[in-house]
Amino acid sequence: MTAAAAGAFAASSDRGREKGDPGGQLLIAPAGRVTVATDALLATGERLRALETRLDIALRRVAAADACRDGVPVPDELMARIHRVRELAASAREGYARVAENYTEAERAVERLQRDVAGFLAATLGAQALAFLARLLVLSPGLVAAGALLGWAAIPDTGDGKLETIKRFLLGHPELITNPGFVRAVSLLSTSLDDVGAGLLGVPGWAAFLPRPPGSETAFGAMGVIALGQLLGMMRETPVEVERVPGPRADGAPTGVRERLDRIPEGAQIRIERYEADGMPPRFAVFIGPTENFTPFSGAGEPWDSTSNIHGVAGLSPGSLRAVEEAMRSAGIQAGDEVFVAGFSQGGLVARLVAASGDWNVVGVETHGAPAGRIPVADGTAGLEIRHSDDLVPALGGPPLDDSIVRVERRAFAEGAEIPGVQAAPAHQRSAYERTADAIDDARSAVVREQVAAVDAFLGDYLDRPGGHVTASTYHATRTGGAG
Amino acid sequence: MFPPIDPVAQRAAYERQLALLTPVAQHLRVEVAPRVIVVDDEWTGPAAEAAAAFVAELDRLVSLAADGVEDLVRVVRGQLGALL
Repeated sequence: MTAAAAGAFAASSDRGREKGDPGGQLLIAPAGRVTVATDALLATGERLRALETRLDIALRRVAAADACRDGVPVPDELMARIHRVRELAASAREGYARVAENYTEAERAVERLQRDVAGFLAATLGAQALAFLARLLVLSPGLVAAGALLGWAAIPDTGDGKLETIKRFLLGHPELITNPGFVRAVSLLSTSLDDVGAGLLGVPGWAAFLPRPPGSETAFGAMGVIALGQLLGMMRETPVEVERVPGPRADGAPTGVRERLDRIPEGAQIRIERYEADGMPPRFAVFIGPTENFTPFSGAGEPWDSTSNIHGVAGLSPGSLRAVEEAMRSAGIQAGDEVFVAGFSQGGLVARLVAASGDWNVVGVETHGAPAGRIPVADGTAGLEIRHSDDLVPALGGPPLDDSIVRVERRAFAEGAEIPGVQAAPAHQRSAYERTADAIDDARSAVVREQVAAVDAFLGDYLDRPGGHVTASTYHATRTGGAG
Repeated sequence: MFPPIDPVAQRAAYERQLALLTPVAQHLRVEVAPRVIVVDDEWTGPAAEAAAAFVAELDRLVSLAADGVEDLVRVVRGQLGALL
């Protein structure tokens, strides 16, 4: 197959999804490689490589038969025939690989350009706009208030309040919030806030093009938001308390991504499973729930709130992280014990922070829709980072780093699929991630299957040994000494 | 004058060739059997045509290679039978 033919494969590839699943095809970014490919493309490449290996063995055996001194001479044409099959398989595999590389390069070039331009604009226009607004607020507060009132008045009130009108509009147009272009814009914004701050401090706009440490731009931006929020009494961290509460018992080890997602709690935010077997050190699985309350005021007592979200994106020490670490200590996890962490949304952010802290021996991480792409984890850590390209929540954490975690991405709602209008962020709903987890469990590429199998084995291994058993503990955390 | 042929050495050579080539013939025949090489990605248009053409060409070339190895195995078996 020629490269052009292989290109045609990708150009008109639609999607490989189960009937009834509105999601798009799985896009995989293998750990340590810069290319992004569909699951089907990777699986095809792997099968072609396996065919080449089998043909290499065939060629060696035929050559050895030809070398038998008193045997029948092997016709040259026979070796040539096997060589032709091998060359065809190799050229097809290289064609597929080129498709993936071209796709990745084009995507990255566009993203790099957008990010640099966004940074430049943020550093120049963004800073000027903010400075202008600040001057206006000081010099003509009445004018600003009048403008805000006019804008508010322009929103029609259909009887149940203007906020309800806005909510209804967003629910009635779910395609706006689940548009990948919008999500990319959110991602660009998250990495450009630091440029706005730099611009306000007088740093020239061209500085936006200078390279920075990975993850720093999102963290600086989040810190800026925290500083502004704290001026208004928001985003203030507090101490937290953790207590053990009744929860579901452990029923064996979860197998596959979907079963692990199903173990991530809601309400009580933390579930810890302890796996034991005779003569073996204990292993642990920590499942961390999503945001419970979106208030930016930490006085509400809920650590799984927006304050924790923004502190987590900034790479600081959010209340939810401290609560999870307290629960881990309470569950008897020692620094050297092997731990697997999984989380959904804010739970995924906290899972990455636990892995990145260096205080725990985290051997695997599995996150769903986490705004945690800029938080690095140690090389050799197994697991998956799962995100929807039409989900704005992971985008708030910035574009993902190229680290040791395999990234699986897809649209929760493929082009043309019907988007439900009853949920505020349809692509971030747990049900959408459940469908994606099912698709991942059905993935055909070895890159994904190996990661899923590695976590399956880590959790299930002890239960097959003498004395193997699992116990589960559930924990609930609250903020104490509310700050705002 | 050709050197004298040692029937024991010749038989050993034929048996070794059969041991080497028979699995190759079997493997290639398995490769010809319907199997998924190009994983379905709901290809459409030119992509679907390119995939179908590639799979057909692969099958044709593998069949040719399998036929060639099977022919050789038959020849070796014939020679071995003639020695017995």
